[in-house]
Amino acid sequence: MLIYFIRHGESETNLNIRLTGWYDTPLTEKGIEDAKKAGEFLKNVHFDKVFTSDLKRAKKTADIALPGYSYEESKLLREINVGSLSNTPHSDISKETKKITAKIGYSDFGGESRDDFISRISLFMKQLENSKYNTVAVFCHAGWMRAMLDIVTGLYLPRQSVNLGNCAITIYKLNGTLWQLNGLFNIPSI
Amino acid sequence: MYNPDAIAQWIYEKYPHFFESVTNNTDIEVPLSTVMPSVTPVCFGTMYTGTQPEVHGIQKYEKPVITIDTFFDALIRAGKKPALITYSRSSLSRIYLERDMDYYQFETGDIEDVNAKTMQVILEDKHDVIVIYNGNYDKIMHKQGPESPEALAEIRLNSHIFAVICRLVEEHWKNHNTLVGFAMDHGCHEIDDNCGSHGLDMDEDINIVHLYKGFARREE
Repeated sequence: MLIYFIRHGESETNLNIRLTGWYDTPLTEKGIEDAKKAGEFLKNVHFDKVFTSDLKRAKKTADIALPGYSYEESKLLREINVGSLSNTPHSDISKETKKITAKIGYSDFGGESRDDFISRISLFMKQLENSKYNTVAVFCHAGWMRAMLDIVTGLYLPRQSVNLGNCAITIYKLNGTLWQLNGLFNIPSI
Repeated sequence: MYNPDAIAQWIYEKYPHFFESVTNNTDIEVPLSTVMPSVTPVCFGTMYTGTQPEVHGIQKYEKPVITIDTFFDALIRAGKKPALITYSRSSLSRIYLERDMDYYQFETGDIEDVNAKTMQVILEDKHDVIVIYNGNYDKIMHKQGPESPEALAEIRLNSHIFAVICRLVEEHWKNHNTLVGFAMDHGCHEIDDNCGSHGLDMDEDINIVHLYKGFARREE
């Protein structure tokens, strides 16, 4: 099975450099263009299943990138819940808070711990492992895709180590329960 | 070839746990002394030409294009395809320009674009040699010192990136004999006000360690 994970296009909170989490922010005009570019990249791929996070930035990206497909919404695909830090400007978040959240996630702020987030992602991965699709598209979020990279590589890659920009695409090959990263593309490449 | 900037041998020896992701993925450790002055363009000039600074022509902190025969020229003559993945203001991005090879250069000084492109290029498997530059440690080391928690955190990040590179090479380059290297340009030392520097003829600046692992071809 081949699985394409696609990050949503630029959102209002991305543009305003705010922490987003479950805050349901819409795409910007550039975000719509991002989604069209992702659609161009994906146009020759036939998907037999499309999943999307139930947050509107991901759903709108799916609508634009893969018109004509119906998709299944899943809460498992949501970004990490950042609790009370939702929609907070990055510049207002203290160094100390950033240290805590990088290490354990957002449980101290009423959100999800990193462990809970990883468990949620693993549940979705398990769902795919038990399915019989050939080619799947999954519209989701940067934190989600980065955490999945951590799960598959067995390493923790902090936010600043690898860019997964808006509409970045990672491609995995799934054989049984074995996941292998097969591609990683950012918008300038696609 | 993964090239982090300014990670000294003394840092490597004093903080081995920050290098675990590198040492767990490599078999060969080569202690080296850099050329002088121990600054980035001079050292990378020597690393990829195999010559002294007076031969390759860069003898101080400047970034002219090297015109003598280089590692990259030899590869190109042999029909190989090299790629250089850097950010555009870095020394490594400037001094080996004007060759028939692929240059991927990013405007920001952050390593995240460089590393994402590195992963993409490895997965595409269209190149014979890939050289990657990460200057994150050097940047923080100058401002906050070689042993500051912030600078050491950057080394951990470099180590993890290197481990990912090794993992991808192991999984995706099975039909090649591959050498993967973690190879810094020079070291560094602490100066006043908890800052860092390099460029001098002293052990801290010139002693470095390159680490390597070979992956044997496994598929016909």
